[in-house]
Amino acid sequence: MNLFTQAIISGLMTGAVYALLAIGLVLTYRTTRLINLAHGETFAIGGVTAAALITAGVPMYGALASAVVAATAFMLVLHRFVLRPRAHWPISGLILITLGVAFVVRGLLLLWIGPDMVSFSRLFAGPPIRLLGGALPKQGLFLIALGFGLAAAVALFLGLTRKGKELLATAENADASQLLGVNVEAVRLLAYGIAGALGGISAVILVPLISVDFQAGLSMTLRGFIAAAIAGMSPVGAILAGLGLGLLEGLVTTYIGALSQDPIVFFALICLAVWQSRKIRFGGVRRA
Amino acid sequence: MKTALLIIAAALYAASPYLGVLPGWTPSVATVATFIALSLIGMNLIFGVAGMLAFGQAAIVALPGYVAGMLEASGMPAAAAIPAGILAAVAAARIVGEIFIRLPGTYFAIGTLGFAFVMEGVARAFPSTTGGASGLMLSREIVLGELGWYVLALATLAAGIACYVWFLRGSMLRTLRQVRHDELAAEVLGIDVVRTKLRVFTVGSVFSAVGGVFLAHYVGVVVPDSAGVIRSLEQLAMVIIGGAGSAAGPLVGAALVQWLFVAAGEAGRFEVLVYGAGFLLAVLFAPEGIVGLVRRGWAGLAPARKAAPISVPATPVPGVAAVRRSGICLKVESVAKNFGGLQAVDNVSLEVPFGVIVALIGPNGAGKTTLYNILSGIEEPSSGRVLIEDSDMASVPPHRRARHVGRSFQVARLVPQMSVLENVAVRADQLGFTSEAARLAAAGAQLAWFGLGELAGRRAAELGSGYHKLVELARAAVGEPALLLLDEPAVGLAPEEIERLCHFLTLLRERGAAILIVEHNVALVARIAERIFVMNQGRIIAAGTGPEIMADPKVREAYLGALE
Amino acid sequence: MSGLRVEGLAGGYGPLRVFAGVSFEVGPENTIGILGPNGAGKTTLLKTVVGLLPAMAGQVRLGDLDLTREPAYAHARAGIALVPEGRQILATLTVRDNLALTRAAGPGRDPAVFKTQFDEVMRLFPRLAERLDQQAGSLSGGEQQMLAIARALMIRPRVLMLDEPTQGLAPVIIRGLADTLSALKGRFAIILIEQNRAFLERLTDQVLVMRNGRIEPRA
Repeated sequence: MNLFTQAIISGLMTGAVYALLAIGLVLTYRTTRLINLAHGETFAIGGVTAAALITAGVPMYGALASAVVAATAFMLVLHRFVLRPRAHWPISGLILITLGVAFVVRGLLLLWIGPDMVSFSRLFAGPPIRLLGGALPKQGLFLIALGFGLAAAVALFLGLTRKGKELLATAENADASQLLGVNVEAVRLLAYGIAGALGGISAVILVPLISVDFQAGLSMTLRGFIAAAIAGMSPVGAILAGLGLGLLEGLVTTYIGALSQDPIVFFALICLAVWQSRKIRFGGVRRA
Repeated sequence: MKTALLIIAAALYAASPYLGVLPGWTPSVATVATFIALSLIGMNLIFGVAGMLAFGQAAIVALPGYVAGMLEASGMPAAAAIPAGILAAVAAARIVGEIFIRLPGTYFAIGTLGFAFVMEGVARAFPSTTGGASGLMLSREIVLGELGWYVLALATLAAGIACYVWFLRGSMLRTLRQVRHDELAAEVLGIDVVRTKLRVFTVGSVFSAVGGVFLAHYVGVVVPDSAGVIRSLEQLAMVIIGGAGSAAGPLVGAALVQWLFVAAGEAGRFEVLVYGAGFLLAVLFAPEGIVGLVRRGWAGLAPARKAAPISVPATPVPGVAAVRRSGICLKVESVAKNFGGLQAVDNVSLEVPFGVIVALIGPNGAGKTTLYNILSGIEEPSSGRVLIEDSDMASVPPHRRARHVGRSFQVARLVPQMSVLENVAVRADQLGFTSEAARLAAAGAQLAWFGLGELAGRRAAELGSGYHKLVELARAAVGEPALLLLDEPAVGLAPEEIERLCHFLTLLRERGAAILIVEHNVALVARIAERIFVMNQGRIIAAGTGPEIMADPKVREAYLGALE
Repeated sequence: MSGLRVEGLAGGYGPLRVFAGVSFEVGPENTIGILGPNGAGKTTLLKTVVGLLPAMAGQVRLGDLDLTREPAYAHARAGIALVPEGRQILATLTVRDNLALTRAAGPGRDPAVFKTQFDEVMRLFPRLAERLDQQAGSLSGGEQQMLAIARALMIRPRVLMLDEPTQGLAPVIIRGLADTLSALKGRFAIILIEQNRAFLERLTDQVLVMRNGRIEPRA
């Protein structure tokens, strides 16, 4: 068993999830200028819904699809009915609202499935693929392929399709986009919907490998934000940053220990913060 | 009247566990709530007053308990371990602050969130040192009995509230409100925003740490949960529900929530949801919390009391004599600024002597605002020099230039909830006066001098926009700075207000200030400016007196033809 | 009549009322100018007419359509085009994309109609035709102004509003701009805000003066 290969494999798997979460966060941030602290709840909602439905006897594909729908619906409702009517509020107030929402979701999930970790069976079972001295579960390969594939698809969508360009335009200058006739509200809703779907999809594929509990959301939000921030809020950068963060975690967990995961991620955040500080001219007045 | 009521309320609170009025509100529950309230004073200061989004404060609350516990386990007496724990927590807070405060607010939010994450994780991960998930036992040295602990809690809370009120006295509250409302204006007024926020975060963390370490010793154990993100959010919720920014808010929030959970019995699985829902509802519908609602109710019941008129001296404050200065105040030497490919300012040179009004005119987009930002210190020039009173301003941040430079903005940036006097005093606060009375006197004198004295007690939000600009001018002029940079001071003013503006500018000039104004009102400019510079496309295209400028064909082509 | 009609319009930012009681009409072939000192409310007025700011009172009608409560993109799709102060082109997208996004607006939905419009705009602005795949942010000031106008034309406007189009432009470019606007005069209603009085008077049939948030009666 080659530790290094194993570390890379696990890093790629979590990296795929972080990439999906980060790209979703970038989409919602750039179209609404708001850091959505409830973002990671899409992962928790997706995973928990799938597990609960499957336990209740719902057929696998139906349960997974419902889970993704639930995550997507969550983001759509959040944007349309909670955030949009308050669009004129100061950003700090809106961030607090998203925090409150994350809190409430957490509480609801706790009520639903209790405090324990839950999981469900993989889509792709069977013996893992032996590769360069490591073991790559088939589900993991699927996750990596789908994760990065989807993330790349989103990036292509943004750059090549009309709707994607409308999204980029809205992100750059919502007023100017409106003057062109772009329905920026529909675009924002689309951004939130995509983010929700990506979170849900990442959950239904990753959870069989690592389980999920009611509190997974905040941890995912934290990681998604760090990756997005490292990427400078750029969609393509988010994929690379998510990958990088995942690999870093994989290596650290394998060589140092699982408990150092959070501190290492936090350390990455500190490094990022110190790096960003260089660009700041001084104190409260920012230019970067 | 109000003080008497407060004293009665405080006495009632203190006696309440023994009165048996509320089921479940025992002395021990009250003690816990009171210590929590003490720690929440910190959160209240950081978030409620200064508006900083700190999402990991529970880590600062729990850390001293852990440090003290570990020290006690290795033999240190509690009397030494407690202060050590507090020190450690405050030091940790300071470090987190130093790293994240200079960045945009989201970094601070996520940074503090991450900090709590890590603290909880570390507490769980090393059972041999921290007791792991079952927690760390603390010294039982402090033997006080139930009543003794309760009295200690009340006493420390009272002391804490007193400290809180003392910390916010005078200029501090004004400064924090300014920073919270508009950081850019704060910098330009002389406030070192990063330093101020750091200070608030550190001081707030002292409250968090003291409350936390006492709570830990009372309960006897500290667990990883108490250091984590969820506990931080619960504390934030308590502050918001109680009333962020008010002195009583933390106590109301802590007491209410603690009692609710006790009265409701072991809430268990509902706990998180109830907290979250309470938090969300409060943020959505009652952002001022219970104290805010009570205040509004009170204001509705009690007859509206006219705010006592603030007495304002009729003559300038003694000591602020006419400072006859001479020579060149501002020297701009070949300043250029480009942003990427765009040359916003191109080789601009000009001088503004003391006791002279110089105007800078030009079409929109000519580069005037960029030049002003360079003069204020908000932008660094790509090349060239700026000298104010013969000192090179390179790398001098805006808050350090403020003593010499007063700036007003195109759109007046006053803090709406503060009174006119308080808004003007924000600048006085930064000028080195030794007492609150002196600061207010200087601010009041400036207002009186401009004939705005009767507005002193009015809230800024109630003024018309013309008065906003005049008040902002008064604010910029406090302390008689050498240089006044005024950005379109006449915009939005009615004709009689423009008359007043001219009058004030003339007064300021007579007292020796160097005044640079950007204006579109060419008539005004021709009337009061001795020298006019015309900017177009980043360059100075003409300079001279009013008539000379008007006759210049370059100026006519680029700019004039606009309104008389 | 099928032009733009504004009645008793008031608007501003948040609680601050910047202009009030503004009423005027622009016929489908007329060009009017609005002159006034900075801070008079001219830009706020145009932003309210186009829907970027909510109207605090009054109405904005285009022909039979009452657009007052509609979001800005609905105004654009109905044919009210604004070339905003400072141009505000989408710098990170290409020139082509800046123009193609207007296909979201009504008349352009049919690809054939879009092509016709596009070709005509290319004829009017040959410089843009040469730079179709360049990033819009890399264009010069004058070219960006052309792009902003081209973009507005792409939505097949019934009313074209321009907010200080000569701002920051060299005199020779301003001459070119005047020629372009002369060529467009009469095709649809045009509202022009300018500080450059000569420019304004050359192109407009009527000039309104705005001061302190109100339109002044003028001879």
